[in-house]
Amino acid sequence: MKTNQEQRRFIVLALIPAVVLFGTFYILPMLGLIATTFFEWNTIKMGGFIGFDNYLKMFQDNVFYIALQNNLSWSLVAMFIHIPLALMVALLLSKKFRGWKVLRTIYFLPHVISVTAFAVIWMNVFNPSFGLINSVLKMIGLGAMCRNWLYDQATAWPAILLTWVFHVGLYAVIILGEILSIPEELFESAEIDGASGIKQSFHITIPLLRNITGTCVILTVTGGLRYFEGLYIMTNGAPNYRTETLALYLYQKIQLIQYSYANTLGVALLAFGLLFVITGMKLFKLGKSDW
Amino acid sequence: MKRVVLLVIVTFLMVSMILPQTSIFGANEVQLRFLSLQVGVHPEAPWLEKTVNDFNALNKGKIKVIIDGVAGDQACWEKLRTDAAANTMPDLFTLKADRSEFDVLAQSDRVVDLNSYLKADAEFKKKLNDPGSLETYTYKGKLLGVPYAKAYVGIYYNKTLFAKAGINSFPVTWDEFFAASDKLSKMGVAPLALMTGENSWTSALMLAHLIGTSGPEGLKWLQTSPKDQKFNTPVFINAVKKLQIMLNQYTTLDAIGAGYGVAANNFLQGKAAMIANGPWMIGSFSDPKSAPEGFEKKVGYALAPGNGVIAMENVAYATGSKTKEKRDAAVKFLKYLTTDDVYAAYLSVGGAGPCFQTDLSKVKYPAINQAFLPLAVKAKNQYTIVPNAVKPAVIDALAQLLPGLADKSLAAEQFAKQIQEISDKN
Repeated sequence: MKTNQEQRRFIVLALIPAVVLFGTFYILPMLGLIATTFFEWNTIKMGGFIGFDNYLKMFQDNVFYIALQNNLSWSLVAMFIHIPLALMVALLLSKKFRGWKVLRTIYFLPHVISVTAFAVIWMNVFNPSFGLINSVLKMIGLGAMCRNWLYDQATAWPAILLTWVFHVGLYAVIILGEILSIPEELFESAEIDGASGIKQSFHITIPLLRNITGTCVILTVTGGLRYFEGLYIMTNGAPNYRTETLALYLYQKIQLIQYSYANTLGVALLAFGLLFVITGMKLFKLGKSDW
Repeated sequence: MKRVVLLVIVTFLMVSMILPQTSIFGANEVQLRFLSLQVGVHPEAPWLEKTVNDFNALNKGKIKVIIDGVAGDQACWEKLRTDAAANTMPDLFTLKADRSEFDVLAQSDRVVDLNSYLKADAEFKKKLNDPGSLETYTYKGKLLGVPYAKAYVGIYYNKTLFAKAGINSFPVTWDEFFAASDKLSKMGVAPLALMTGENSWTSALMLAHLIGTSGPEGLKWLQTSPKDQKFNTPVFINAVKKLQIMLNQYTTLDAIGAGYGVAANNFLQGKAAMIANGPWMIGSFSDPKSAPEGFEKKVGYALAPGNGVIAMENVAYATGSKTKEKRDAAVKFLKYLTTDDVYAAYLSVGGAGPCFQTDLSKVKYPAINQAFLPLAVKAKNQYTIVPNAVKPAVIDALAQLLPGLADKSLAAEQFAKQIQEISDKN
């Protein structure tokens, strides 16, 4: 009994520094952020209490819906294209064919390059005068299809998604790590029972990757919600707000000294993120063991 | 012995920490922090450094100005804005006339009102005698800065490209301007260096020229206060229609989404024949890192078609000091900035127009500006920049809407309607 009490006391004591730091640097600012949304704050100094005006303004703001829609489409692409692609790459690499380590490194390379440099590379790929895409189109006689990919309203957002969706290296490596930790005996038994490689993947590997896949989905979606630098450099929300996201829109409002409205957008971003994390955790039953 | 030495060191350090301003080294020396972007490769950096050093030498042991340099307009503005929010204003700083910055600082109530210093010093008051400049930096009766630079903004053009296209002189009407643009275009040169990214600077300058030279209504439009501005008006829509032609037919392909650097580079490398910009660009024409050798000889500077020029207040110097002692010292520095030699050196670097009485014979304007300034001063239509006539959110929205205007997915009327909505909501 005494040992239990001592253990509890030790746990509480050990947790205190983390809780204090988390509270000071995350919870308090977050509460402050929420509180400021109820005040007018369009100059250097904060103004008076305005209740839910900022929230009403947000729900009447067309750009907010475009940003939300883009965040949502980013999340869906993350769930249904980005992570499945990472899973496929991981499954392929897990076969450990000749040169798999080299390929794994190549897939991972984009994550080592800075986002800024990457954005500049993509701007050059999409450049209307000398960009790679337009040059190739002209070369193969499809010059009529040339356009300003990042600034055409129809292609701007798909072009932005394209700059990111194939960068699956990080998640492929995470999933691969999990695949390699699955006990060999399971595959050996399946092989004795006559299961093919594909069947083994579908009936053993993929079901056992539920936890890690869920984690990757949550990581990539929340990463997408926070993604800012690349968008800021490539289009800054243009043309006509087609490439706007909540994180970017929030920053633009800060630049316009609309602090409390920017914070309201921050609250929306927080709510969207929380909703997604909670749904994702439930959907993928995260934390429950399959072993 | 070791203990004694240690005790002396610790005591010395503690005393110097407690009494940093009134230490044994400099009795009552007032230190002033000067937040400035005129550092590093900024063309005015050598001028500022020399000015500060000379002032410090003159006031040795009494006042010391220390430059707190932040390179880049945006970065420096963000630092100043943060200082204002934290109530840690610099003792000296550049106050821009740009309404999006000036209004924020003026409303913050953190900038020192200089009126009492003007009242106390008849000489200083007499010197600052340009009512237009003083009005620009006055907010609710408070004079918040010493007006320092006024810029006349016309259109730079590449004389060599003009000659190759068979254009003998810069167009004086907009019809001639578009005819000349056609000739340049047929020659395979983009007539204009425009941009729609960042604050759409060069495009917004062309918009100001189009509005300002459209007649009295245009001049009135540019004088209207941002909160009362109307965009669903013929004067604005007609100017936007012409800007649409420029963006659609007469600029480089990379202008859409481009920042200032791209537009400037297109002009400096001879890819575009014209660019609307101010005297601060003159230095880059002869800078081997920016332009080919001898480029400055190819450049002419002209009024906008319709005998127009942007006459804009550019910058003032201001103080945010909290204590009287520091305020007095800061104002002493501001007065020093208005002395003839210091001011002449400044005007000679940037080619800006004066904002107060000074001996202009000491100013050595760059050659391009020498021919242009007399024309600019006498221009029939003088007007301000678009950012002074609209809300900051509207300027922000230009980057969003100009690409649509350029590819014609947005008509001028729709553009005006959307801008009006943005202005109303912000």
